[in-house]
Amino acid sequence: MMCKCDLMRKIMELDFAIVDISLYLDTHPDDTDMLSTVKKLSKEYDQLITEYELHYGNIIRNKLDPAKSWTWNEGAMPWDGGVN
Amino acid sequence: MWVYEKKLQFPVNIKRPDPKAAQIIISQYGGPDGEAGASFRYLSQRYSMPDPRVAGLLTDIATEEMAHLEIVGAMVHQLTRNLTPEQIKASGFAPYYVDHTTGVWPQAAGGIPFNACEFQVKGDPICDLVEDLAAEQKARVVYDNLLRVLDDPDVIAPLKFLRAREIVHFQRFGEALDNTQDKLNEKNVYAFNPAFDK
Repeated sequence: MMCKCDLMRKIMELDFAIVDISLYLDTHPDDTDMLSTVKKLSKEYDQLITEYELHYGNIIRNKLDPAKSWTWNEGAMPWDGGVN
Repeated sequence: MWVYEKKLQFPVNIKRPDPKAAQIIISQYGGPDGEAGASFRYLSQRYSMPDPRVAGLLTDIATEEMAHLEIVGAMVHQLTRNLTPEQIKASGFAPYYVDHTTGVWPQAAGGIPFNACEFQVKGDPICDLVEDLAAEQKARVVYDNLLRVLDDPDVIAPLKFLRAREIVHFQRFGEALDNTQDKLNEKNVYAFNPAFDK
């Protein structure tokens, strides 16, 4: 398993790739190669978010673990260099 | 609608406070070519875009600009963390400090408050997209100007990232303008507003 910082770093990298390719697809919706690339990245992104949230804390507020208490505001905030 | 993701788009971990740097970087928070204006501009212009692909692009770029606003806010915050009164006096930060302490308030480097007059919503797709192209270039110039006078690697890295995004957005808006023009009646392209004249 990746450590907290490495996992967040990987999530940020994937998030950036998805954001950038999505803007490209907004103006090139017929590029099937890029569409399949972003689908692959998006699946990987979802898996890493799930892994991160299982071990550390929520990144996306609406994805709540029914077994956990309200931990949304715990830990340092992103602007204080914190990752949940 | 929007849902917050509890992370930055690009990491900001500034170890050395520098209120002088904060005072110029804050222009990209609330200044004339800053991220707040960029986000509001695109969010407000999208309603009169006849091509749904262009309206979608404006929504996606406006959303990314909110992530950039958060990066710039994090930079200003970290550059002014744990300042002593002596540091405030010595760095020229006192005029900002007296009104905002070390909070992050949207203003230009020269102290001018954020203002919606910094952008336009003309309700004409060609006009608005041409403004968007210029806006991305203007923001890129601000990042170039900042990069020329700053040297802390912790500060440089996020600024370089933000600068690169201006260039990508400029490219995408150019394509959006081409797409919009392709759909217009070419005989009447300069007199026809596709958002108003049906």
